[in-house]
Amino acid sequence: MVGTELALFIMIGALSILAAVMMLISENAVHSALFLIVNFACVAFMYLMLNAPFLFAVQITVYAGAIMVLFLFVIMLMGAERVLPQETQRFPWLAPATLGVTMALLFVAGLAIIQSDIDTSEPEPADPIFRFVHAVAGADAVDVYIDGEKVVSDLIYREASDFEDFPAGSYTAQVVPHESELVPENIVLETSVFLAGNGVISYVLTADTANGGVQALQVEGRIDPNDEKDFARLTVVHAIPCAAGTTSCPIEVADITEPGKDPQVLVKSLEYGQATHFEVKEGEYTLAAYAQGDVRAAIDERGDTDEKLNLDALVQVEEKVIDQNTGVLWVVTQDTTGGIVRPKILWFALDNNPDFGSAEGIGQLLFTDYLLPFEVIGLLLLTAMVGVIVLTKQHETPKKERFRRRMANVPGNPTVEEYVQSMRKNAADSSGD
Amino acid sequence: MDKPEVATELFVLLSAVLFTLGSMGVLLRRNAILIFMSIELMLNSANLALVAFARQWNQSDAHLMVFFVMTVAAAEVAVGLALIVTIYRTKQSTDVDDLHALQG
Amino acid sequence: MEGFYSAVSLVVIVPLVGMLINLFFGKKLGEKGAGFIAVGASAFAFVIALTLWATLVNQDYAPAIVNAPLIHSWISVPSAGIDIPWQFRVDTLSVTMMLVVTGVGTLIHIYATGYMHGDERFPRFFVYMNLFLVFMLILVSGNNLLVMFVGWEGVGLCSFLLIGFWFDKPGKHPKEGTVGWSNSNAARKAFIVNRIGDFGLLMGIFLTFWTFGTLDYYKPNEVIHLHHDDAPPPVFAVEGLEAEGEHAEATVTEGEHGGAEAAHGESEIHGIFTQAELWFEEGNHHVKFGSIDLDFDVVITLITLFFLLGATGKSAQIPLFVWLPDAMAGPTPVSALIHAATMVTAGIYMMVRSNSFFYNADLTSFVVTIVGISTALAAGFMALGQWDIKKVLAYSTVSQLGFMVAAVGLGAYAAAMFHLVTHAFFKALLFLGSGSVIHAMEHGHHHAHEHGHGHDDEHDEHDEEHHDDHEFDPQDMRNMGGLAGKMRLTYITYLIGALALAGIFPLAGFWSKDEILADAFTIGFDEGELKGYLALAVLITAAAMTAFYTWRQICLVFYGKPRTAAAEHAPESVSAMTTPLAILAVGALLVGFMNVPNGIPLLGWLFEGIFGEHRFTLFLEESVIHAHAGDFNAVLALLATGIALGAMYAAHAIYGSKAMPMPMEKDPLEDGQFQPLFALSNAKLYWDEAYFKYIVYPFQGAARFLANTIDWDFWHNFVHDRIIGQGFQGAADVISQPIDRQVVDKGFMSLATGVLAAGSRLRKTQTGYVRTYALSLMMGALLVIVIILLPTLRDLLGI
Repeated sequence: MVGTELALFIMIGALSILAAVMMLISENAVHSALFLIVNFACVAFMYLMLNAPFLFAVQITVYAGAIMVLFLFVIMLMGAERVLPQETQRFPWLAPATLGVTMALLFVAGLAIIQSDIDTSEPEPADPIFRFVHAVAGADAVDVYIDGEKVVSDLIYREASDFEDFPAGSYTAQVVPHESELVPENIVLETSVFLAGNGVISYVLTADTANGGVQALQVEGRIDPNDEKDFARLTVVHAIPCAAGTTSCPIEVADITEPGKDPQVLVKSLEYGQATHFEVKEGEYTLAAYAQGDVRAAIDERGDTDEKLNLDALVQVEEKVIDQNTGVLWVVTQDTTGGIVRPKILWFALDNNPDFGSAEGIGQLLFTDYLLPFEVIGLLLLTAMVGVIVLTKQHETPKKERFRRRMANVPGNPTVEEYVQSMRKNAADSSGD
Repeated sequence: MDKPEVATELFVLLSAVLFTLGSMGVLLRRNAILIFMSIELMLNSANLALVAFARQWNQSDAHLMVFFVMTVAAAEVAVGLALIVTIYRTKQSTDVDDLHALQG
Repeated sequence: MEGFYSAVSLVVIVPLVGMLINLFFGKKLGEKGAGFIAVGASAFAFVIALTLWATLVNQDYAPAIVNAPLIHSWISVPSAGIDIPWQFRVDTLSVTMMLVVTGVGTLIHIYATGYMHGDERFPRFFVYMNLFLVFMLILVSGNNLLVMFVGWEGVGLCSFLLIGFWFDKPGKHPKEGTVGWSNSNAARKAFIVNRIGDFGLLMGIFLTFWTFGTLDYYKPNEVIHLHHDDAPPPVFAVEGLEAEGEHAEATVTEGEHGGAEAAHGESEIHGIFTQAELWFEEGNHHVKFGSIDLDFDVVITLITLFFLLGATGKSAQIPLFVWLPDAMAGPTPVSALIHAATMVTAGIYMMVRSNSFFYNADLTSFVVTIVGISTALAAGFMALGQWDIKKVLAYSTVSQLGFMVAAVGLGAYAAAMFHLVTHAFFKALLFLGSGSVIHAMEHGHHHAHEHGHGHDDEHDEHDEEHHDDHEFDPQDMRNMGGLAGKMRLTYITYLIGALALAGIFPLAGFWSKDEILADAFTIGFDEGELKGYLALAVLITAAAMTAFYTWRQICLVFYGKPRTAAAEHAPESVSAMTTPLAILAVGALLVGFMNVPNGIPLLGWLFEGIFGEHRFTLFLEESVIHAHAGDFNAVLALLATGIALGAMYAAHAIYGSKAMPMPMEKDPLEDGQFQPLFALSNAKLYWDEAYFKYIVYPFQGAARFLANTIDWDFWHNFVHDRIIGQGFQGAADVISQPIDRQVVDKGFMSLATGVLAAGSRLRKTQTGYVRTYALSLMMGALLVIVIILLPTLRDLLGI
């Protein structure tokens, strides 16, 4: 049974081959160009089928559009649309030889493709990426070492480090105050971390209220789509320090996306330094954190009237988009610099891997990993432009130069054969002495 | 992950066919412009293979390669066509068999 | 205020800039522009030197060491521990020298704009002059011996260039000129003779570096202690070791950490002079030269003797003085600036700068004294019988330099520097005055030629001779006479300079010469040293000679009647020339008062009240550790002045009252009983002849023998041509014919023809058609793919 997609592939593929053949055998160059455009369009369609919409667009606009227009323009400019009649075939053996070679090529390539079992091979898991988030209130900046190698430097409270990538495996992470030596008495936290392939992991450093000290909470950012389809995972970390003298200050987190409705309490009680996670559907959310029991108290106070709730959020995040199959991290903190309490939003979409093939994904790669090649390519284009200008410029040969060239062609200089003859003669003369 | 309906192999095969056709064009045609078009066809077939493998391996890097190939092709077309125009000016012909100044 | 010390770099840079401007744009600027630039640069440098002096006074005479910009670490090899920075030293000694060099230099520059007027190489002259200033200021301002050596060689170069400035003019005395151009011969003579001295200085520098590991005079962290006690320091007493040690300690204190580091025996933190003082105080210091272990005293004696050799070259002392009289071939401003006022005093400066060495080297001090006094006497004697106005002054300069050297030998460093300064004024004045006279004589000669036909017997005689221009010598005093009335200002200033030179109270020469004599007296009679007696006797004799030849010159040039048409028509010089003369004359009058000694009878209260006592000596003591003031000795002063006046009277009796010698006639002294003496003096003691006979000719003979016999006959003809050349040819014949032609050539020919044949076949594949190339490319690609896929294909096809 041939599916729709396969049927489409066969049709478009056949069309592209047909267009290519027609391009080859057309007598008229303009026709060839038009057939080539058809072929390009077919290939562009293939891109679409291969989940590459951005390349589809580029193929249509740049290739089939701009470049082919250039071709047509040159053909028309030179009036070379009619191919010259094939008068004398200079290399009669060329056509059969070509056919032989190309067919052999096709045969070999086809054999290789069929034999190599492309479809059954699995990609290697990508290197995991990870980062650290500093959520210990009042603590100084820290450095993080992985197996003795400094990966994070000067990480301050309420900030997250950049993503680092390491080969998958188990490591020992050590946290020390910023700019102090990696010696046992300096180490604030030493913990072993497991970095699984394809992983996108955040380590949130929080205060360990139970044991004192610091703990690292591991938050996975990418969810295996086979496990939890159509869900996203929201992780909330409580990082607002308790008031002086108190040891317990739990918060609750509520969904206040719809203004008219009462807050939907998602997390009932979360102690300082603790984390919790829950699954949400994809969508746009506005979330708020309250001191534990505030929502209940406010609803009780209002009673059954339609009045607005008298409720102040500690921190609130507004209109955040959560995509499916991603993990989202919300570190609930406040900015208390200067004695004024202001909400501070630490919201991380954990999946660092945007959609495959999308313009966004390509753009991200282009401006990170491939920035240098991109610039080199730009330079190449510039050079090509200059080159074209230089090549097509009509040179006016100066008179003096023409004269010099004429004089250089004056007969009388010995050819190579003459020179060799004279050499041989000399050799014969000298040996005869 | 689900298996795609159209196997990668098919795309690669199509790419091979298009490449062969392009190379035939390069070798058989004598019109410089047509040779150029055939080269473009070959480049496209290579691109197609790249994109097919990108889907297979779920890696966007190949898309970047395609992007760069397109850019290089654009540069190459510009320079190549300029060369053809220059040659046409001097030889009044676009037949590559008329050009054999490098004969040994 | 301290910041002004760094202006010392400008003292060097400003003349350098002036020189560069004149070098590149001198021709375009023209005479006025080039002269203005050169004079401006010199004057600017003088103003900076004045600023430095003011700063010194303001800073309580604290010396300073200033790093040169850009080239500070010009010689630095850290791995070898060699670091010789280019530093300037600003202290009273160097500032004194800077003031003399730039002050007198500026006046002479101004004078030269008039003197050199109309010369075809006018800008080049000022390029050289400014370059000379640059090097002279480097010489006096450097803080180490190597920087001083740079200046030392540089001024030598400038001297060479300027002596030979008129290199294309034939000599004034065709008989004396040997071959070619006598001016360039004189330049070469000066340069070569100076090489001998420079060898000595270099050896001294090498020894110093080996001994001390550095060449810096003082390190920046060292502070020379300043003592302002009224009692003159007892430096001349023959003290015990302990007293000597105390003295050194009182004189030199190190920086804060100096003492602690000195305990480690490290010499790096001390400059050479402080270190030398410390080692003398410590005693028993040894210096190792490989396996030779020398006592420090011996090493210092060696170093100072080498330094003395350098000084005899540059400061024209016996035995190397012979270049200076010949150097008068240069333009007169050059003679005044370089060969009287500044460059020739470099040797004195160097020895005074190294007073820590010389003071402690008894043997050297004795030798220095002997060299100085013998030079003073011999040169004074030679000056008696000269006819050339500039030659007289040249020998006088040599003689006066002998005075200074003798003072250094006596340990009277302040007196030496004092005489240097006063001498710079009055000798520059005399040279410039003589230049004015010569200039006037040349003008008068031309004037007489153009206008005065047949009024004068001598004149007619001259006119009839066609070689007139060559015969007439404007420098010959026999051609002059009676110029006092024609050149009023020149005469008055010249008279002041001459009286100052003769040491007549109260002119500059009186004070400085008397100080030297007083020091000699102290050494001789108070301390009973031989060199003191010798110096006193010889120097008084030399002073008498000085007075005699000075007055002889005055009589011959200015008094009596004009003896030639040229003298008859000699005009007064332009104001650009006479103004410096006037200024220098004022200087020659007054500069002596800057160091009025104490204890002058009768008039002492007046001078001391106005000018203070020993001002210059006290000033110098801030940097010259062993400088001291001499006591005034009224008897000695009266005696010296009396002898000088007597000599002048004798000269006047011989040359002034009797009939003056007519041109090319005999000197009055040539007839009487003094005839042999005069001949001896006129022939300069046959010194040059002796050098030629015993050094130059044997040397040339040896060179001729080496060149003709050893080099040409033996090495060239026999060894090279016969043995090596012919033997080589024989071997080459063997190798070339059978081996090279038959074997090597044939082998390569066959290889070449083989390659050629292969190439002519293979070139057919290069069709030049793109499509065939493309097909080959495709086939190659196919081949590569097949090779890569070979395992797969083999499986597939079951092969």
